[in-house]
Amino acid sequence: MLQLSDEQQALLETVRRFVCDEIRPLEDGLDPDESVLPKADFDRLTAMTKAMGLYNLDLPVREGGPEIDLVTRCLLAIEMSQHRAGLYAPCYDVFGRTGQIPLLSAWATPEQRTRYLEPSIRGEKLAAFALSEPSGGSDPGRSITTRAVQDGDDWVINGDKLWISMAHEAQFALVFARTGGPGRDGITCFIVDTDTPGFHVRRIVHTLRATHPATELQLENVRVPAGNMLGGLGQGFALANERLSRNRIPYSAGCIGVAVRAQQLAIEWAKMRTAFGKTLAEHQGIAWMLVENEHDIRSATLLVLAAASAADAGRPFRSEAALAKIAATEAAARVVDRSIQIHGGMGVSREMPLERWYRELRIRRIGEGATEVQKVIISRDLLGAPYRFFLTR
Amino acid sequence: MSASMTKPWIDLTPAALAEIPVGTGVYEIRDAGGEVLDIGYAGAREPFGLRSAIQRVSAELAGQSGVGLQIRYEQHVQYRSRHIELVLSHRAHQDGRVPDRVAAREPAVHGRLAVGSQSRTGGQLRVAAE
Repeated sequence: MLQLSDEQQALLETVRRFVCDEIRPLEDGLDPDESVLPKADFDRLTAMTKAMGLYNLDLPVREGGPEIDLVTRCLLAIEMSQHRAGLYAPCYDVFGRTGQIPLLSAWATPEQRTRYLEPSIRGEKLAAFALSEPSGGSDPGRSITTRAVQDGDDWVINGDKLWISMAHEAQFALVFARTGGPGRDGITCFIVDTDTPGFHVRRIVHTLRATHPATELQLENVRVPAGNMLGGLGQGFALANERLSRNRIPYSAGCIGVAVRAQQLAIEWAKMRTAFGKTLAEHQGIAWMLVENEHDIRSATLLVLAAASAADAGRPFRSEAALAKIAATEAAARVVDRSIQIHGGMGVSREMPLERWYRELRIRRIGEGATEVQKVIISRDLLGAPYRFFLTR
Repeated sequence: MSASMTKPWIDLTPAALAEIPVGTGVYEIRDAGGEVLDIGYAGAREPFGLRSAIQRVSAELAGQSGVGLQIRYEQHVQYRSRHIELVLSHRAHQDGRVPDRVAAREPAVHGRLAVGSQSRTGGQLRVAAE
């Protein structure tokens, strides 16, 4: 049985209390689709997380962030997401918003650090991650058609981007463009200030998710200096892949947090609500749904923590992260769906958070690499070498 | 596909008010001179959706600006993201300004859209969906 350390237990209890005492009561007065707190509440709660020493948890150690392993970070993500907005706005960002800071920290030149990384750490600049295009987001190595052409000391970028979260608020974007031939090695990442002439945020693309809106970008002869290339020429795909693989693990953990909260609500409701002369929980059909929920939660949690543990140990974790992503997103969707069913009409009402999670979890099965893309990743590893049981590899 | 609202303006009369749907959505209100006074949304906590939201806001505005208010609205399930889009579109067309009521509302709407925003792929997405 997985045992948490005393330190982890204490940390989780602190965050659990914070979510319970500070976050959930505030949500009663907010729009059910809200993802931003009123400024006074945001400032008050951010001051609390700073006083608790828990602000900016995801800041890399080399940038002054806390030394926190990924397993503990995932456990915290599970706690932080247990409220209505928790899937896409865990605790409304009062624990800090990391965005593209880890990527910049790993790859930025000294000048890029000064212009982009350090203001991002201070919360003065927000970055968008502009990878997906209308031509497809699942296979960026082949589908990116946005083109960057060298012109003297500059690069000139033309193309369209789609599903780019928060680009309307971002001060700069990491734009992935083709600088070479077809395939992964032909892609390069550029840091583009969003006020550069020709950088257009054309519209907000409305989806099942109301928070962190996706946008459509159009780049028309956007000129960026060569010094704004992030990583080397042709390294864009590797850079994007690094971010996506690692992010999949805490991304999956957030889904589990929502599933845990849905299960809590379902159990409370099943024990309280009566039908046909007994509580819902006393009906075997309902009790077994709760068991199926628990099976989903526990199996997904173990896969997420196994992936985090592999990453912490410096072992390969690409397949582990992909398995975790499939397990957590699919399991959480099933848990929320069953919990809605147990609640009946209340489950689909906006008085309950379940309907929001139902909508947002549908996106999670697609975002950061759809379930089918994860299967492609895992099958490559399975078929690329003689098969061995994973624990004895 | 336009980021701005393209519905026609309607004179805000009692009869028009009674016709407003009671679901969630977004709305714009302007005065007789054509100045947009508010861009808002009727969310899931609004008791009678767009109808009660517009009724309440127009009653507040009538006290300030007299008669002659006009409204337009869209029913929208994703009223939050559509509201952000409408505010940003207004800001793009008005040199960065938004109506006082919008500026005073929390949480604030940040960001910007390109002036005269016109999607290049909206049509493609619609065709793909069909």
